[in-house]
Amino acid sequence: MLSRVAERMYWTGRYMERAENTARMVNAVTEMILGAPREATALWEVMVEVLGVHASYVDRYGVAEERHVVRFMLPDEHNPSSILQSVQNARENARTTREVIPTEAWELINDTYWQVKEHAGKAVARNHRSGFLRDVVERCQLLNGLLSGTMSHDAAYHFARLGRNIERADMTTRVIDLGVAGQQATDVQQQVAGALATPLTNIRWMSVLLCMSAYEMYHQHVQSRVKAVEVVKYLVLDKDFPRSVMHCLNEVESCLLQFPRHEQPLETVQKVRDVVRRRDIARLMSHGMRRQIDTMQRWLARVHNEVSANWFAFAPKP
Amino acid sequence: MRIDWTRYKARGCYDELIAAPGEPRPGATGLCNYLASLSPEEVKVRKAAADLAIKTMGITFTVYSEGQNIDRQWPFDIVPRVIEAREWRETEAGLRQRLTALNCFIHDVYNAQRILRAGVVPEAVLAKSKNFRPQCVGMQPRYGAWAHICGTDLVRDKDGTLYVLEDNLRVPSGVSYMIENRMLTKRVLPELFADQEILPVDDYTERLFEMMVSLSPRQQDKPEIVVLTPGIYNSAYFEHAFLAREMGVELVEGSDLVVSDDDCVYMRTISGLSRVDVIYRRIDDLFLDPQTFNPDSMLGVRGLMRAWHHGNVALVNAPGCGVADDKAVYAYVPEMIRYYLDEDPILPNVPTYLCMDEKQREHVLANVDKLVIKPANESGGYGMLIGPQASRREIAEFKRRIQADPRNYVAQPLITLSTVPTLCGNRIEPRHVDLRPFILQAKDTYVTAGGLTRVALVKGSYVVNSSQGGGSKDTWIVATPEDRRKA
Repeated sequence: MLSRVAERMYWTGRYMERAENTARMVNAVTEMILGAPREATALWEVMVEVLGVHASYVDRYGVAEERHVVRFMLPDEHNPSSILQSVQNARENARTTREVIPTEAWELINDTYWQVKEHAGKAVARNHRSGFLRDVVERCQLLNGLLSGTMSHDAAYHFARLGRNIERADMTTRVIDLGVAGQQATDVQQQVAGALATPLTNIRWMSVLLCMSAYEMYHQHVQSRVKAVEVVKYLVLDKDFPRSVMHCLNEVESCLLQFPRHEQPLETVQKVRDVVRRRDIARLMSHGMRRQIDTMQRWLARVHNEVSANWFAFAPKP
Repeated sequence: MRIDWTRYKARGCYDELIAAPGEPRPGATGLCNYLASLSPEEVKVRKAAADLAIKTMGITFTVYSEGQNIDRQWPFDIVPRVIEAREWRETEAGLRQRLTALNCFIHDVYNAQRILRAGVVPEAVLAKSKNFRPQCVGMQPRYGAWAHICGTDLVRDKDGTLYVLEDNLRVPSGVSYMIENRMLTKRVLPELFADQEILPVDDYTERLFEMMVSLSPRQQDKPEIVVLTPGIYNSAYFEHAFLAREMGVELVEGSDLVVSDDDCVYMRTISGLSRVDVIYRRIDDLFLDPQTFNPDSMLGVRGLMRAWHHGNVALVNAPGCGVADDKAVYAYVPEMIRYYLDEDPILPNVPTYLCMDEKQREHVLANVDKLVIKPANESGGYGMLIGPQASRREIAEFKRRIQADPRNYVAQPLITLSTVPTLCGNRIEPRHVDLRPFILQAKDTYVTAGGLTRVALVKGSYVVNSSQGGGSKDTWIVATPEDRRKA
């Protein structure tokens, strides 16, 4: 398959996954603050920070405030990570690979773009928000299902799947970061207010599980009530939950094995996985988890760079 | 209000569906009766369904000057245009004949030039042709086919005669819309396909694929065929992607291809370089190969002409075809048909005055206000003047242009284009149309059943180009009961 087509499939997968996870994260924060309105400002600020768009947000809107943050992450045409821009980027990539994806998949991406364009602005209001975010998540899941169920599982398919899983692993680390950083932010507030930390913390990690569609799976596979350490362990290390970092890395490995000349990126991803597996989450949760999350994100970026150099930018001498 | 055909009047034109108020033509009776049976709400619902399908299917065309908004929905009118099968058979024969002669001409021009030496086409016509490519002299493409794909524009005058308006032999576009229009009509008016014999159009891509396979320089089971596009900003990008997808071949851009030291063309793939046999190129000659033509071209492939010269790759259409896609050459097609095929032309040309001829030029200059003036080498309806609708200043300007460069201008009488009932707001009104059938030619010749009907959506307008406010219609070749009895 053409290198250019491989690259566009990869980005189609990544951008759709980014749209989905952004929707999940905005939903999580919305849920969290419903139970703890006093935390709102802190949590919205944490969200733009963990998403790595804090500087550009501040440039545009200044202080983190719900309406502005949600506008920034949903319909904003100037934020390259907004849901609208992610879906539009996915559509532009898919449009130039229409000959290798099933018609229905293209129609779904195209239609999702029009839906998001039409409704994202209205979803800034809380009463329209959760319905909109849910629709975005469902459409992205529908696309995964359509590709899995109707597209040949050929190289093009695996490049989309590769992009999806690298993006998903990255976004899962950011959702964990949201939980950890949110905790630190509110701990400070609560020490001031003198309230008990436990019930609010639990609600927050419950929201994290719910927004990852992980609530039931967690309870089934972790014999424990919702506890920060257990939730983070589950979302990083569980090999069966499809949004955990470990599962995504295994998926990435299985995609790479489908491609010719895969030795270098494969070696890297296997190394990353071994390092992640050996991490002591309990110890990190008391100290250094956020730094560890940054490191994981850097490793994922390295996998991306190697994939890109190996198959996309590949320009043999004529 | 329901559609009432007794109140439908196409004044002074031939209407394709309605012969006289209240009287549908034989092939269109079923369609017209059906449309009249629909309530106005129902018509609205069908129209909305078509618009939605266009949006969802992502059928678009691109307009250059719209900044970020690079694609627009395809303007489609739900009322089809109908042509009776009997008439079509004759037209089809005419189109085959015409392209056969044109291919003979192109081959001759780049080889023995018999037709010039015989004085049938004056040497002056060729000497000043902008699209004659010296790089093609002596080339012998397989089957003598240079223009493998041709889109011929037909127009019908008020007396009902179909004329050939022009032959598009370079990179004709529109065929994907012909196919999509049919898919849309099937979604929107499915009832009509139940009890009528409407000839299918969707075998085009298969025929195109087979034709290209037959041109492969390597005789092997699965030749590598690609569609070469200038990229997403080209106005016909939708079509390039459509054709590649339908044929199951790679859609490539210039940067995906490379010509190696062995003079073969390769594409860059995730496993390395892979040999390419046939290129359906949707890039103009001058951008094909920066080594041979425009050195600044970012769209082409360095060394592509070298690979073609060595016979290591087939280019569809062959470079140099544009020599016959020139309105001065067009005037000689009837002579070509007689010269090469020893047949009388089946389809007439629109009478054409060549401004390069002194006597004809004098006539044109004296009658600019009654004629249509066209530059010899433009396409897309650009750079022409419709005399009867032009201002005095425009007329003076064109007189000046003709005198400055007579070879580059031809003139034709204004053909009163035929009309088809078209949904305009809530009403059905006549709008002018043309027709572009597509012809494939290599070892065999294939003509689409019908073609792309383009419609000028503005009342009274003759400009059907989508870049200038035109739309399109599905085109039905229908067997009438009379036809069926004969068959």
